[in-house]
Amino acid sequence: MTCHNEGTNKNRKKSDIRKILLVGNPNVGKSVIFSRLTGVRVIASNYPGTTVGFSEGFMKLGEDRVAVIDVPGTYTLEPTSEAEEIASRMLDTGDLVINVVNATNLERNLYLTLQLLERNIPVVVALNMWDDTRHLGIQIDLEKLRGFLGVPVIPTIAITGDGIKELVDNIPHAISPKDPARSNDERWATVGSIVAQTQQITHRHHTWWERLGDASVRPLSGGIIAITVLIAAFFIIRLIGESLIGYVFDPLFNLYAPAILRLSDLLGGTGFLHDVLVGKIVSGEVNFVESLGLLTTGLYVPFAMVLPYIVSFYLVLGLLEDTGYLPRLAVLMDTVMHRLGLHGYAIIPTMLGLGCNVPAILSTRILESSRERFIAATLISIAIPCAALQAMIFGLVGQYGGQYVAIVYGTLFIVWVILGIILNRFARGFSPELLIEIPPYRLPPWRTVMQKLWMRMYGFLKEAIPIILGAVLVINILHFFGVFDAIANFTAPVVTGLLGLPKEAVTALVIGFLRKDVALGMLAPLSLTANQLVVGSVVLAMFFPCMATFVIILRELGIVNLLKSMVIMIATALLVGGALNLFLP
Amino acid sequence: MHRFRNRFGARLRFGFEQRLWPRLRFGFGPRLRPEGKQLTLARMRTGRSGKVVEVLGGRGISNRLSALGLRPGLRVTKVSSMFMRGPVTVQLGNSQVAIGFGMANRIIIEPEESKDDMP
Repeated sequence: MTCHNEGTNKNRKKSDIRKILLVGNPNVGKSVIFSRLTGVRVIASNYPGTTVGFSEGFMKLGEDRVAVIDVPGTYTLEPTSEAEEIASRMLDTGDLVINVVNATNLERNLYLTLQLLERNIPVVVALNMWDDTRHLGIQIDLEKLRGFLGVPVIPTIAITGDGIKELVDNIPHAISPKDPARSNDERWATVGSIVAQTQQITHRHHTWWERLGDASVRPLSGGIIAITVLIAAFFIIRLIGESLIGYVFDPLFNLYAPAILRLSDLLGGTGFLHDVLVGKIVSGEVNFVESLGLLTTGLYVPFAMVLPYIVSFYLVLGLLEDTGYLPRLAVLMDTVMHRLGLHGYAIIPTMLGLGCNVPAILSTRILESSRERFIAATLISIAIPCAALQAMIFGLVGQYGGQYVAIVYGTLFIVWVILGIILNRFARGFSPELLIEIPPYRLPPWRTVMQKLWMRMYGFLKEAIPIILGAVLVINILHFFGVFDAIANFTAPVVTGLLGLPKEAVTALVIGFLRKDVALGMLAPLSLTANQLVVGSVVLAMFFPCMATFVIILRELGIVNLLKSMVIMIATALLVGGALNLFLP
Repeated sequence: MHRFRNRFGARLRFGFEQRLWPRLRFGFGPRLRPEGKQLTLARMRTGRSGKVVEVLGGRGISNRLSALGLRPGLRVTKVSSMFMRGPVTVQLGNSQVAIGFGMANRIIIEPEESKDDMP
């Protein structure tokens, strides 16, 4: 290509490119490259299918601002799952493709590259994880590869940012060779010959990480590793969460309490405004959990009860995600999950659900059939309590002793299993088998783990705090107008008769639609017995999804499935709540 | 009518029959094993390697498998299998793939000679 030619090409392209798509196999690092290009932080993990929707960001290209889209990973342009379908549809809307390729696995990755080259869209190839090729004894002849593909090929190490600048510089050189369409076999044959001529592999021994990787998918050693990992995860989450509460947030709120008492005096100790801002002051003491004021409970619940557990949970989840343990857990759990009408990979949405049900239900897109998605979403919204609710369960139920917390979790787990078995029997459609790629174990850099933790924490603060404050405000207003009393009298037969709770507890169930953490907090002033609190926690966890989850189920599954799901939820919640009320000693 | 035939010309249909077919071929005693040492991936022993001969079943399955890099002619090493008809993990070049038992039972492998086979 001559200089002149290149120049005109560049000029033409610059004005043409409006939208750049990042396309590649799952788990090759598209999201990391996306963050590098646009500065927009997105969640990246070490398992295929982290990105199920798409993220859009902008980057500067010369003088232009260009949209960059992080497309969910796909192995082929003939889609086999919903995430892949999105990817293939989005291809028609872009002006240029950055094809992210895993350099350690050329053969499989180039298949998609060839499919892209057959389309009428300019392509640049980013040969990512370039540093790993050296450890693995792989040598790739870049010049030859460029020659075969006919497009720029840039080695990159997204996680450190190496090669990203060259990648951006080469965007204007992208061309579409418009290869003639090939059949699948022809494409594989071409891939085979390209790989044979560009890649050399020297033999090497298994590394320690690889041995550990193999051990964690074998039945016996894998089971031991899984139990160890999960128990360790649980205790680390408890340890960090409790420490943050005990040593950081509670002392802070103790410093803050006198200020509230002064404010209470200033407002005269009673009246609507006082109740909204400060809430009830019992015998000259601020009770941050029970007072139900905006400046007391409204701040204490999110910051001192929930946030510590959000931090500790997402730290541990982030580590599990980034090391690549989750797909191995999926393999181990596959047989069990089949009984529930799911396959092993559904463990990933389930684990995410222990943090927040919203991303969990979004991530059910990694499951192939709509039946699986329905089962998974229903099970998650019924039996998987989110971190916020769990923090409150530990905070409130935990006061009465660990055995009551165990009853709550045990009940939810049993419901998860039994409901899964029932749904598996009755839900229509089919559940395909497990077929996933297992990524190598990686030691995630602390910086990326912390970045991800920060994103999720910030997301919680941004989304939860306004709703929590709103919920507290709504509670006060409804109290003021006596709406709760009306509802309480109306629902008393069910709440008192069936669940054995005081009739005022229905307010918590109503507020549960806004935020479950605040709702559980509302049970605190009712001076319930430990058993009643257990029933309340379980019913609240199962009864109704919170607003955000509700909307996401509606969007992901449609109104019909949402209604079905709701009927199941309400029925199970009442049934299980009633049973607990009857049988708890 | 019958689009799915294996190379012996036998019909393959979806459903029960298709699931049964590998067992008929390889499951019931040595007399029914047609091609020497061939067996399904599900039955291959952990730690052994072999070449993929064919994938029994519809286009859907073989497309999904080949997208992950598992297609006839390639060498695979079985890393593990879970008990109770759990998934099978195989090593393919530099990647590992976990395959559900049913699917693994439709992948026909020509195993390589190993020391264990020596008399």
